[in-house]
Amino acid sequence: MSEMFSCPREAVRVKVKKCETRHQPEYRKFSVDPQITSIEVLQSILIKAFDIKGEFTVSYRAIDDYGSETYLFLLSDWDLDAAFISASEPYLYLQVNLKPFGESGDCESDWEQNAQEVATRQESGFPYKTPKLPGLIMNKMERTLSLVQRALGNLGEESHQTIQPPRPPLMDAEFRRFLDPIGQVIHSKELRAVIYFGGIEPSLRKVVWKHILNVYPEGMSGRERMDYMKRKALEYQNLRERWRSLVQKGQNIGDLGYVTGMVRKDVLRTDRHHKFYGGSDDNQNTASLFNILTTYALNHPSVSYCQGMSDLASPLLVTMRDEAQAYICLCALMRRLKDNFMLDGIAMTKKFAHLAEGLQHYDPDFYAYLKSHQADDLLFCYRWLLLEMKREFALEDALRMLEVLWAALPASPPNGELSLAEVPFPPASPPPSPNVKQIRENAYTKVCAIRRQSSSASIASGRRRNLSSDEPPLETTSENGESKRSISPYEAFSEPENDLTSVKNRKNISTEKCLSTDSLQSKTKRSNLLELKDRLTLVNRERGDMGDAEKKCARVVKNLNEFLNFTTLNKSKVTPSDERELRRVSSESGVVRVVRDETSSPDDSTDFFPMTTSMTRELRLELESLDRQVFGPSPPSEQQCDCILSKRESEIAESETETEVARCSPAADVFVWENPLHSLQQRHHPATPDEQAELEYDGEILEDQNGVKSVTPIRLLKRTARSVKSSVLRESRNRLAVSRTNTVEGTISRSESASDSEGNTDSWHQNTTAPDSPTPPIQEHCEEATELTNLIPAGTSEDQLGGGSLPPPNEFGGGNPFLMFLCITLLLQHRDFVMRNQMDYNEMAMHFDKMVRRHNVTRVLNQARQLFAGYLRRHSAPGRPDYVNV
Amino acid sequence: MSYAYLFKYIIIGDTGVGKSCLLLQFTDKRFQPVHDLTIGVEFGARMITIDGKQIKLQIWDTAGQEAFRSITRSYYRGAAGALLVYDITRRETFNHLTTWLEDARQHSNSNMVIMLIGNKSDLDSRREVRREEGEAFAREHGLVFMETSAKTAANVEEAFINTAKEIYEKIQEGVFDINNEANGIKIGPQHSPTSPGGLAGNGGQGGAQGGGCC
Repeated sequence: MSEMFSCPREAVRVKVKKCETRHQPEYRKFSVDPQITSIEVLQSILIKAFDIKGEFTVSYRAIDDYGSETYLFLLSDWDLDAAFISASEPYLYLQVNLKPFGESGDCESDWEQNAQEVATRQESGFPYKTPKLPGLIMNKMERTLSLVQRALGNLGEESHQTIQPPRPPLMDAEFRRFLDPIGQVIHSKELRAVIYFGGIEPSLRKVVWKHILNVYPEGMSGRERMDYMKRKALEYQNLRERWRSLVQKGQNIGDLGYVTGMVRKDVLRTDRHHKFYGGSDDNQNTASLFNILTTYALNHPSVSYCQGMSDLASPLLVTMRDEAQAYICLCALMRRLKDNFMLDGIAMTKKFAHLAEGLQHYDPDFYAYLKSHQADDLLFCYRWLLLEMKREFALEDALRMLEVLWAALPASPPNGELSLAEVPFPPASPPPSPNVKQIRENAYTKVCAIRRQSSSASIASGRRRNLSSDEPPLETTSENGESKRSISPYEAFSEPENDLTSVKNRKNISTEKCLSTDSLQSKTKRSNLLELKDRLTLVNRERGDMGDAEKKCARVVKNLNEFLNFTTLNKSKVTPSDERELRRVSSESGVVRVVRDETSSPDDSTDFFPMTTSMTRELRLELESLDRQVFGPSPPSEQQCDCILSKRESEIAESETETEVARCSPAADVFVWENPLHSLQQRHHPATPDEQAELEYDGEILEDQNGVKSVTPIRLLKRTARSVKSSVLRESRNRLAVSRTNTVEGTISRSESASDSEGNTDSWHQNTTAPDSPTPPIQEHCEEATELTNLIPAGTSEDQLGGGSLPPPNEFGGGNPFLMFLCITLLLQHRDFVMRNQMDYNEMAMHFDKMVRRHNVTRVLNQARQLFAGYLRRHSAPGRPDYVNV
Repeated sequence: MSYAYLFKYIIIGDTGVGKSCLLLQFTDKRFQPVHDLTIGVEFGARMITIDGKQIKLQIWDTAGQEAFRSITRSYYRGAAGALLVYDITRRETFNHLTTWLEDARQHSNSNMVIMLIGNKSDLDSRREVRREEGEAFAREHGLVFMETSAKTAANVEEAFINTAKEIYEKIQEGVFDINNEANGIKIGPQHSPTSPGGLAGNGGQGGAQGGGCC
């Protein structure tokens, strides 16, 4: 790659062979200028040269790491660059295959003995997934990537930036190749990869979005999907009619009145500049958007309506052009995103923390600059994170960006049917939402306030709290003690639970994948709670024998505070399972609380819009005293909990630098919950034996390949898998502390095996990936390690690359790592401008506000993909990436 | 651009009362009937002149929905002035003022100047809150009051500038500690201690605590 920078070649000589079934191969020779030849140009040259009419694929000959010839596909400019760089001396040998995805030509010739192999690859629809090729492709890609990355590192003059997507959008014909004869989606991972690189042809979005949004349960045929959608659309219509009839009867009060009022106001200012929603206020599409959001809010009381949802729903309606279908898509999308709207704010806090961490990783200089301007809280990125960048691009571009982002996530089909209502409206008992809101707001408030307060002031800056001297002493408690404790309660929290529950919770965090079973279960749980119409029962449950609810309620606060301190002080490497637990519980406890509040002051229910005075007072109390028992007297169970806590503390103290461990080896976190996740996801089998076998399998492989380095983590993994009991988890955590001397490789292999076990849960994954697993060549690890440096923008020191110092993909950005890279990309693309103009916080924020809908989607996506590729290489096994095939 | 002072403002109030429109009218002198709903906080700035001095106003326009109030709160802290806005055509936005005010008082520094604004005065026919009510509320709580129209720009300049004047006077009186940025006031780059006459505290930029403020 460096050759290219040092002495760019002016011409590359190309020899091409065209293969076509039942025809003699044809040959052509020509030269191209590698500086100006894009994949498109090359394709058009080939079309002309051979007078090609139909579709075709191009592959090039390369020498693999074992010195033998192999054919790699040319799908993108990156591939082409790689070909120019690594395989063009003295000639670049290309092979053109017509009928690309069918059987390939039976042309054989000396210089392409592997042609057949390439051809067989094609049957899988996407060439990346092969036993032998991926590593190679990865290597080539890597080189190309690092080239580009270097250019990006030196950016400023953005001349090196490619402005073409790496791949054309998915077209109808191509999509059909991902379907079997009865219309079942096969190779859904490859489908996602294709979309990730090129997006979807706009006319095809209506169909394909429902797949990548996880609307359909797994394994549906085309006919089943149609029936399913029909049924779901009907279900939506029923849900909608229920509140509409109330409105028509003039009962537009209470919850209904609140929701319709809010939603109406907001749909009237959502994407109204776009023709779809343009014109007068009674635009039918705007009305549809209103119906969708109102139905969602009323039937999902734990979320209700929050500003921002209209921005999320709008692109769905624009694409579906059908209210019911858009609603169904929204439900699918919100499975993953509703946490962003929870007023406990945990999801958002975590995303902010990860974003800061990511920026610090990729651009420490800019991060330092932000910090010096007290802008490292990054709150001006709030909209980016909440709306997943939707508003940063013009709507048409946002559609592209969104599909790429969704495709970058692992598939997560619903378990059974997608649920369209959490608690059907109107609920049998009086709606609790008014107070839920207050509770939620209360918690949420703290998170953001604290984040704002602590980021510049405290995080890693010696807690200089100069600016917030007038603030209540939120963080003034012993920080060491806090941060240590903060780890413990989470673990302690899940400890007493039986396997299934804790597994369920762990599972939920990781990625949206999890949501399937869990959301069902927790939903049942929640709705059960609500459907216990008798408040007394609830109160009893809360206070008395069932005890659990109250225990959780009380502990939520405690954990929240600790969580906050932990995230802000330690930059959030919170064990996700427990955090999830926390969240789930907090919303539950919100409901429980509500009941109690209502009993005590029924009048509140009429005035629910702004916070009530009592709420504010409560907040103040909490802010001022860090009193963890604000929500009332602690039940006996609290003590139990404390016992566990202190036990945990001592254990942590034993393992010397627990917090440091959490910081240095994110894999530790993966590890804590990943295997339980795995065990649950194997829903056709009783968890343990299966999983054990697989893990052992992985372990052996890795031991073979990596030798000593990965032995410990693998053993740990197996151990964990065998008994999901958290006692073991805890133990292994400590062991991790011991074994964390494993550097990059160790970390990689840990997360590798963990993520692999996750990936294997999808049937297609097993099919396509299983053969790969035995052969990740050792060299790849080494090359990765060395080439890693090339991926980092100039100015990043070596040690910042540390052992995968960013959280693993299923945690980073709350399980949406690509979003983090989109945000980081925006920051990187403007950092020079910001710093050159010495912008302060406000100017910076104004600058980014002005860029709303103006970012160049291709440019941003390209750079984000590059960053993401580098990141994934560090966090996934080559050839077995869990997120996308890069 | 150079300035003698920089004041931070925050605009607060229920959703849909016209906060973003007020800002846009003030910074860009235009009215946009269809405006994106604000997510979190958006930002604006404008230079004004008071007493012959250039003053830069940094304005944080907040989202009205409670979900974002957390953020709003964290911004009170750094604000020297607040525009508390309600919609004269919607009684409930007026009813919520107490909550907003309490929130603002609680989370801001005690000297923050709060201007009460009844917006949409152009929609007099749909008025639900009488002007006198606004005045009474302001009097009762020690606020400055004004009815504005972001649409016609009536009183918009005045609202922002009068608030700045009041802050400026407080500085002159030595009420604000200008060296504590948490008060939402910054001295311009080349206007360190000496230039603004008659300042209490008069501390240099080295961070010496100024007088007046507690």
